[in-house]
Amino acid sequence: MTETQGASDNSPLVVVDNLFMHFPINKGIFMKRAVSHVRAVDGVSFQIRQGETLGVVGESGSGKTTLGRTILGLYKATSGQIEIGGIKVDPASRHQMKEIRRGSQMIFQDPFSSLNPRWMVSSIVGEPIRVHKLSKDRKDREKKVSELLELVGLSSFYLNRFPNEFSGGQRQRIGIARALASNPKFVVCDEPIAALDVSIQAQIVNLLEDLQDEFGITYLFIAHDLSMVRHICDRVAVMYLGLLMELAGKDELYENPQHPYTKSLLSAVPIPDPIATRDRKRIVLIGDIPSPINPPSGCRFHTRCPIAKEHCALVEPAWREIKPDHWVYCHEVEPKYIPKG
Amino acid sequence: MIKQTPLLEIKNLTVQFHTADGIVHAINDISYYVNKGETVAIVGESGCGKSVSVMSILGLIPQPPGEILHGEALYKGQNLLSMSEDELLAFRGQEIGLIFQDPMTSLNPTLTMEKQLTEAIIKHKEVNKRAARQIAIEYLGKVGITDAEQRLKNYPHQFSGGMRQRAMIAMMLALNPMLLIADEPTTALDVTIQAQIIDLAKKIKEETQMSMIWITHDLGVVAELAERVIVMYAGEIMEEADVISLFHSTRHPYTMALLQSLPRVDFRRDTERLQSIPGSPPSCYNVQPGCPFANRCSFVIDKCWEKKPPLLAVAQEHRAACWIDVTTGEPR
Repeated sequence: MTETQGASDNSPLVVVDNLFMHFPINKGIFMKRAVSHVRAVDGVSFQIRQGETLGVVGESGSGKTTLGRTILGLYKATSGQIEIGGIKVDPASRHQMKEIRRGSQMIFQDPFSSLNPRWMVSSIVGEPIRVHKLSKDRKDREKKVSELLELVGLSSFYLNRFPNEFSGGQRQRIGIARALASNPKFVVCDEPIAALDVSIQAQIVNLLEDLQDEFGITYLFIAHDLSMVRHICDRVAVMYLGLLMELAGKDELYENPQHPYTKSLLSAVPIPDPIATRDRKRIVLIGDIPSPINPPSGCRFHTRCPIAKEHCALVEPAWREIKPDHWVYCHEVEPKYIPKG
Repeated sequence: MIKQTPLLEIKNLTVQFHTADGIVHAINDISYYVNKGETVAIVGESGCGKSVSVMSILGLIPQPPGEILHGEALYKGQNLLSMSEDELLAFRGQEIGLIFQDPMTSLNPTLTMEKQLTEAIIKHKEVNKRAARQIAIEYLGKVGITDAEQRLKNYPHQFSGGMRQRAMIAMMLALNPMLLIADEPTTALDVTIQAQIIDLAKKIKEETQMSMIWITHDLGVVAELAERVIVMYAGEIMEEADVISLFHSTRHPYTMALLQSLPRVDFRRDTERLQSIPGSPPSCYNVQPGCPFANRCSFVIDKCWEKKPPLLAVAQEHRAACWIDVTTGEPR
């Protein structure tokens, strides 16, 4: 997909507004009470446009997987609003959730644990069709499953095999076929290529793009491989400790990063070219990502930030649009802005 | 360049594993060397034998099911493969240090870091506890762990992934080995932490002149760190060259295909699609005659299916195992 195609239809399919997802840490056996919370997603707002691929990148523990799962209603959000295609995501409403789950699917990271080892491929891929009653009868379902398998580049000959008979790349294809079975408009890809070998990664990425071109699927692409994200996404969001740090179109973000975290993240990616590597300046972050149980005060990046000022530890930055479609969470980015309070 | 005697020289090493499903031909007749002060990267996909090619020479693959069929591993002229377990013990740690992918599994969760870090130092350096503790603190500081004195009282789970890996590196450095073998040391870590470890490795090299073997699947890490690169596929060496030749005058179709399949963080997307390599790596159970990459290769000719190409010099210090000269597309 080219960029112009991605931006052609600007109406948002997914709207996330001020989303919080806190997990309680309980103490006590009989009188369970929450002593503190893991603030996995801590106030995130963004939109995903129809037919585009939005990338979410960040270190492990930044909350990107939780964000993806909360959007699909796999967790009940602590607060905030999520809408997919105009339908509110609310895990409390069974009727609504069924509708959401037909139209939105997920591809998981680990192709080994995300497929039931006791089920044959025909049952795994056929389950969404059965659950959502998308086929007339058993025969019709098997026909649909065969078509799906061929769509993802597997032979329908594999229908009656078990997951253990497949390689990692093939399993990921089965997972993709299952995600597509209910004809979704929106698919959350949670690190779909991280567990695969380099030579297989390109195959799966090409497959995901072909499917997008054919069916106009909108992707939320969660990954830590910044090179692959630049290739596949239209816009990219950078996440750190449960908050978005920066959000922009991919070339804008990669060529003109504004947030110091984005800058250091990009400079940390090794480039497969020994000559280009030599002239690069690297911003090495000190230390590790702090605990999301007790995130730092003010700007939560200030403990590792190379340009942190005194006020960064006191005042939390605003999530602001510094130029059209380029959002940033930092006081120090031009034009500077420090909220009162 | 005068050819020096290598620090480590592997000759015609073949390793198999006997499993319930048959014999796994993990590595077939590979030879490589590491010079003093040199950093060699071994790259390849999972299952290509890159770890086995190094672990087997240190007696770190269980036998059975593993079996070293033949080969020599000369370290300073002594054959490691003919040594007893006791003799090897003296080499591991003291002469050859090892770092593994997941530092959590190589540390004991029930012992404090102090206990684990000082144990090796006491054993190999023959110093008392207090001196060993001082050495541990000194080296933890060198790898960037602040407040080392307090940190020694922690258990491994109180360290983050990057800190555990740095602590392992500190432990290795304290023993001052001649050769450091790192088996995917940054694969489980975030890019920001990986960058810290790479910078640390570069610093160590400058300061100590230690030789390193860096086993990885990440060509970006290779470009940053290595001086010479060995590319493995299905238990064979496909190409071997200095790092610049490998990336800029690639001579093997597999290496070329790998490089082309990688998107770049520093380039705008110029192609519609990534150049993917069709198919998947061959099974290691039954080795076919001919080149193992033949079924995925875009240059393939009839000869490739019949006879395995030998690893031959294509330029100075540059070897490739291919019947085709990829610069012209003609058979060699």
